[in-house]
Amino acid sequence: MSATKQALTYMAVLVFVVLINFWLPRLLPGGPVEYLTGGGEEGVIFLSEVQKQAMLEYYHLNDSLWIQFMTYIQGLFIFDFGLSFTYKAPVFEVIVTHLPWTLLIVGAATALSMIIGLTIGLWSAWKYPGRKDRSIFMVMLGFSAVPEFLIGMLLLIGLSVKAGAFPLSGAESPFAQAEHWLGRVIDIGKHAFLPIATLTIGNLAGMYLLMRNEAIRVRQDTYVEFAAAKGIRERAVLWRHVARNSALPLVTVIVTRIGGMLAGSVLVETVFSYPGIGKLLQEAILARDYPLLHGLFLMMTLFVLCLNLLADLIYPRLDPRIRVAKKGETA
Amino acid sequence: MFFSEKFYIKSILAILIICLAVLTAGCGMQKNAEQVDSSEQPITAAGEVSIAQPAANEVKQIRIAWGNSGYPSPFAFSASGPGGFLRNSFLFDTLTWKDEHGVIPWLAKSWSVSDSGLEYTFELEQGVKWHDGEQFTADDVVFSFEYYKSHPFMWTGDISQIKSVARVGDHEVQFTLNNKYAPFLTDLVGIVPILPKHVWEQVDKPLEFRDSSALVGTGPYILKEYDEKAGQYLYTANDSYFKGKVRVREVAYINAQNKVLSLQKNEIDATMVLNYAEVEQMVKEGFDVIKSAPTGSALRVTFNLEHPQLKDKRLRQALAYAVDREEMASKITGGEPMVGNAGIIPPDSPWYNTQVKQYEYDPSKAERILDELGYTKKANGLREDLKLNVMVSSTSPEAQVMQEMLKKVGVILNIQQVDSATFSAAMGENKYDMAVTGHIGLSGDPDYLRLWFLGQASNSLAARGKQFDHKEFQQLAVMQMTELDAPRRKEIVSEMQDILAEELPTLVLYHRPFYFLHKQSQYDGWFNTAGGIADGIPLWDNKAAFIDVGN
Repeated sequence: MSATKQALTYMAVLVFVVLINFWLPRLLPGGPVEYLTGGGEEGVIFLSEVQKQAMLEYYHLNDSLWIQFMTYIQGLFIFDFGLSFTYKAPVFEVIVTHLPWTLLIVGAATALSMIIGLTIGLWSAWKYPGRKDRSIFMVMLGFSAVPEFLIGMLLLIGLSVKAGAFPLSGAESPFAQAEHWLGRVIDIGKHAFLPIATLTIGNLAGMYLLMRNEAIRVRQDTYVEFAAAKGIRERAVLWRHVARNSALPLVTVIVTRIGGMLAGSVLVETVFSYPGIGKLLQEAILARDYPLLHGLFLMMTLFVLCLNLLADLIYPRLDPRIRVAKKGETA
Repeated sequence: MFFSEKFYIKSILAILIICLAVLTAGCGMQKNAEQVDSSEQPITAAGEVSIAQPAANEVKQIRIAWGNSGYPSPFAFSASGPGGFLRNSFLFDTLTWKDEHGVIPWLAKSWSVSDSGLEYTFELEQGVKWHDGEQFTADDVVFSFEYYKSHPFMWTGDISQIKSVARVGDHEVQFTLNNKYAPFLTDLVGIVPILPKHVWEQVDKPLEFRDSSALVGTGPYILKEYDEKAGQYLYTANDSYFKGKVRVREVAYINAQNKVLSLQKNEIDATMVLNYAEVEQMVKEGFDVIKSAPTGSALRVTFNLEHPQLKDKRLRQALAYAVDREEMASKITGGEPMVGNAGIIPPDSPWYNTQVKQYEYDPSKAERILDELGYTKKANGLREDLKLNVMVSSTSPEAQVMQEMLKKVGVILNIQQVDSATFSAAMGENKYDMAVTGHIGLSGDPDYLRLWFLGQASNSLAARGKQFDHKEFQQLAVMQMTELDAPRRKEIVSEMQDILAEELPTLVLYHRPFYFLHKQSQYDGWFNTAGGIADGIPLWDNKAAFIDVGN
């Protein structure tokens, strides 16, 4: 596939998403005004017809769909999605307020699950075949079968409710006037611990399995045997030869998985009531907050596309077999 | 070996990205922290909010559980639920307000009504200052109602009843109404906040207005901090409040996921709960409880009056006899159940008609009516030609209990659970058989019966835009609105209840009390607001409860 072709594919995907992004939320029954008047948890509110009309006019919801669509397209080019219906503030600002928290837990969980998962996977492969490998393999399979929100619930009940070691929800203690920045960091860390732990455990098994299988495959390669035959110490063989060579193909898989973590954050943030974009997305869907939904979906799409692009770009450089195939083509 | 130097650089890329993400997160938080530091502190004329040691009958801080209600300016607060209005009422004042006995003067010191009932003249408090030190005058009142005409107040309060507002003197205004309007003092000037003219006259996009002056009111509190991401509020007392000393120095609203747990863990001091079992448990743990009175809420079934089978009132009555509502209420909420009034107005309201027709639990009577209507039982014990759907917008134990009870008389009920927006849209388009809703707002002025059933309400309080097609009822509804003589008005409202109970456009299952858990030893100023705050909010964060009125 040539570079231009690839660029075209990406463009096509982006255009498709931009279109879907506008129409999909509007296919849901009811709109933002119905959400307000529909009750739900908070109970019904009284809204006179005058007030309702004023609302529709304000949000341009009584414009024709076509005009709404044109406004949406125009806004795309300057990253202006308009005002969020629920927050009554520019979508961009609302997202910027919540995004760092998601990046914090997803970033930390990605790093942790990689370090832990890959290490255990390598060790497990080294012990293969054997009882130790078997038992770890079984435990990890068990982990991978438990859904993330259940892990979150169990951690929440065990460590927050019963043991009281961690706060129940939120990202910070409310209005804690920490004198020192260190106090604030500790507070944020305490709140982020369980969400990070949940996401990490949820992704650990995947990382482990990838590494283990790849390392077992590499171990059977001849150069590993040769290295061992040369009398190189076991540890050196493990790290210098097996680990390196099995980690390479994994890089791309891992990069694309980060996108999946972002999706996983929706469930985790809901369980821990953590104020990131996952929770924001859930609320936006319920409230039919079209502009906010546009902003969030587009951001997530761009994020995933960029990760994919990154994987596409680095993959040929990492896997010698592909590099050979692509010889003569400068990427 | 396969590795080039180039490769190393590339392989680190992925890890770099992750680091970058974490860093960005760090920066973002830094930014948030800054925003917090420069929080929306209106500049007070007196300089700054003094942080004095609380005096004998003062309380330093009370933390109450509630969710995010948006930015609390008069135009940006969230209209879903009563939270937003209450958050705003701490910052802004209205002409009248309510305490435990009823309507009391607030920004208006006194008022008089003309013989025609169309003119209200208010004498305003003098020496009232906006948070920024400017004087409050009659001009602000006139301006506010003018401004709301072009920028509607997104809550309740029917501005269209007002013909004009005129300035009579520096501290006197006169309202002229289009027609007599009985709930004027409670449901109109008791709800709509008065705006500072000097701030809003320059604002043409009030919803987006986020300058710190957007929160400049005359109210007892100033917003010290609004944690936007978590939806939490911290209010601090306004020391120069015209109405008296603010006893609670700080009020914080904490977004607690599990209220009872947060209470046990001392993350909050007070909260509203619905479940009586939780109340009993917390009372054992040393908390005090207030039960809302009047109850002011209803869990009810709305019938689609255009449904081919349900449009027959006899079927609706049969369903009412078939549901054991007392059993249902005690199962679901516990405590002492208050069975729904067939005439809608809760039995603990002063407007309740004691003579109104009620539907006792009587399954055999229900069976008899169903047989008469021709829905005969088949061999399997079910009336196959009567299958009804009930729509609910959140998990509704009421619908499940009703399903079981109706099965006993052979009626098959199918539960459709949808989200709030879908629910409301389906009601608006009359695409449903029955719907279960739960809401507040029944403790205040009974004018809501007119609003619900005369197609005035744009919501799920009644089938939207569909009038309850009953001539006599409609006439009575308009009559009671314009009747200023209370005893006479009560008679009319009683007649309306009779019609509603007979026709059953909606069946109230039960009236659900709210409970307030708190510690009397921490603060003893709590009370139930007569008729509910504003147009009937049965909660306890009434600003009058935090003030020593007249000191």
